[in-house]
Amino acid sequence: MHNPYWGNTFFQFFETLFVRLSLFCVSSTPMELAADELQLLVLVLLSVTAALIGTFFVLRKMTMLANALSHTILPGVVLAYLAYHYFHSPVGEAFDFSHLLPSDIYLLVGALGSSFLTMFLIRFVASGLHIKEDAAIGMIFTLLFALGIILVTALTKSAHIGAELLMGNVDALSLGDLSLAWGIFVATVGIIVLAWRPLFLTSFDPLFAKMCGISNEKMNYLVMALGSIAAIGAFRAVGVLLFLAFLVTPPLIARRLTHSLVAMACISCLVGIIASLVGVALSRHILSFYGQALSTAGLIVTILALAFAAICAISKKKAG
Amino acid sequence: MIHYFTDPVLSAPTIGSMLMCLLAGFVGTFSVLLKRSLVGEALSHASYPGVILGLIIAKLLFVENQLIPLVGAALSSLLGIYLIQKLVWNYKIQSDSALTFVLASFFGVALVFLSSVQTSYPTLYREMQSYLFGQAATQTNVQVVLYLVLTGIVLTGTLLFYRPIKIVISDPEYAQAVGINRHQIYMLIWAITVLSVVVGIRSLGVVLMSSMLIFPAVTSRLWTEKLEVVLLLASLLGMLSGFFGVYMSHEMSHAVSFPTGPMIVVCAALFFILSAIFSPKQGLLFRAIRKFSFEKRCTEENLLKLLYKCSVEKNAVQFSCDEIAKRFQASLWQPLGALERKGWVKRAEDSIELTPSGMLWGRKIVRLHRLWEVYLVEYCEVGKDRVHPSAEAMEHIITPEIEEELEVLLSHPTVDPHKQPIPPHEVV
Repeated sequence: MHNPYWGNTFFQFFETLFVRLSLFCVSSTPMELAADELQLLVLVLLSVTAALIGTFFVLRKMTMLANALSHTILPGVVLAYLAYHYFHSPVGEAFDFSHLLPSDIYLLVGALGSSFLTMFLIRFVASGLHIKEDAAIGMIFTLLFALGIILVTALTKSAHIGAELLMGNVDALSLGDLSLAWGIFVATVGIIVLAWRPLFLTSFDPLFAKMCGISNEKMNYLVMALGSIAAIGAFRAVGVLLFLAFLVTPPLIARRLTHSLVAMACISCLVGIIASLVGVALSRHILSFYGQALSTAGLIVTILALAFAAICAISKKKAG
Repeated sequence: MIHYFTDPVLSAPTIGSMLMCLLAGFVGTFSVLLKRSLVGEALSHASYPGVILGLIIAKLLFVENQLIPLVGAALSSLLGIYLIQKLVWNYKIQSDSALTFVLASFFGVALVFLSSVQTSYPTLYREMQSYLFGQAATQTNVQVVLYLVLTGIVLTGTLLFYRPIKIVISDPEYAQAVGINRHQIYMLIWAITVLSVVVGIRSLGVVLMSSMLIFPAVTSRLWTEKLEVVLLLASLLGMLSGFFGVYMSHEMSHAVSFPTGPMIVVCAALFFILSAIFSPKQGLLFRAIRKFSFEKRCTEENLLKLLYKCSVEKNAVQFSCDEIAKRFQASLWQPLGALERKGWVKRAEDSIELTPSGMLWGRKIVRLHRLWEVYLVEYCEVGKDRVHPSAEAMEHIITPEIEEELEVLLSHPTVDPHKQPIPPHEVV
């Protein structure tokens, strides 16, 4: 199909998007998604999901756990691939990562399993051996990540999957990824709305929450589980490390603008959406004008970082 | 094994990895002891855009210079730590958020540069990717010499400032009192951490680098508390992990290949696991043994106490086994055997006899129990009816010195809060 965004500049991109959106609303004939729109949708869904969860990670000072989680998802994903291959491929067929997309259930179990294992091991090392928690985090996730790399390299003779997992590839997205992103978005919003009160209480006043009979520990696990589910959706599109930027930067920006939790969550979602829009448009612009295909996810993260720097500079002036 | 050092192909990667891990183990000790273990993680990720830019610049200048990416790594890593400090101090951002933000954002910037060469220079792209997980095998003698120089710089720098560093680590308040600028010492430590990251990313890669800053330090901390010994041990453990990582990855790679960097991490982790089990002070094994033997002693002493109480009640030293077994809630035979071996009880067919020395010990335990009860009631204002459980535990713990202190503090009491006599002090 001809991509209507081909050769567009930054502003033409939005023009085309607007025209196509209006067409989509008025016309009854089904429209096919262009590659840019697919990317945009997946990225917007991801960034909103990440911004929502990230708000809690930032407020609960758990972002380094998110970092650990984003690394340890590697062994989980590799094992998910392996298990899928074991149960669903004909006997004797050679193992090959690139032709395989494990069903979402396998990925889900792999990611949740690895995140809980990470949490458990960190807790065990920190309290069982009296080692500072940050050291425990650093040890556990690098070890699990190293094991994941070894597993991947031993199976495929190259660390390519590992690199892919770290960096993602927006151009390789398919409609399957879009539905996965939708699913994760809906599930995350649902869970956050359902568990809003305990999440809210434990994030701000763990002591009061405890008096109300809400376990902070359980909420930590819930936040971790949400993070790992979102990471599944993210790792193919943007890679686990950039996912971390999606998770942390929008809430940090929002935190400088407001003190209310609801406003913070809303602003960070908005920041995520705008950054995704601008990032996709900018990436298209650079491709059209300079013939250079830059990493869209990388651009979005850069935009987010610059936005955060700008906000810091402005709010400093206000304070001074 | 010796050919790892003499073989022209193997020697550079082996020595390079060992040097790198030695340095990481040494430097990492400081950040681990300062409870800032994860700064290394942020710094190593933050070096990646510098590496990429360095490689691109080298490509544009048409030079095969291995130094440029390393300089780039150092510069962007330093920028990273500068930003982290600024965010934490000037903008009051939580330190964990600041670390994660810098880590992820720098990586994002790196990816933008990385993707710009993906189609036009595929070999360069692959070389850039090799810095992610490291590629120990491609190290050359030039790099080894460079690492040696950097290691020398770091070691001299640390030795020159050893005293202030040690004071800042062990006693920050004292450091402030004697006028040591804490921030300068921190900056020095981050600077040498950056140098060790620069040395390490070739063989370990930016993602796994931080593990070698943490594992050796934490492992040696399990064995000793003296800073000098921790530093030495961490360097040694780092070096050993470096060697065995190369060794294992080389020896095991036949049908399938085992990458060196991750294998080094696994070696370091093995050292940690072994230490966590077998270290005499904090090891799981010895802690379990100590716990078990303490519990065993408590049971024995409880039995002895029971026998003593029975003898006071009945004014006799011989009791039937059934009676004691009924009153002693736990299993009788194991502690009874232990007491018999110590010569505190004598056992006949189905009766138990308390020997004079056993009587002495039993009296001492009861005495400690009641002394503690008096102390709790008089000095801690605990209610009479609530002192018993605490005394049950303390009677096994109080040393003769504490006993004497209690005695003086309470001015030699003769009855406990429940109006029971406290046996007088005797030499056991």
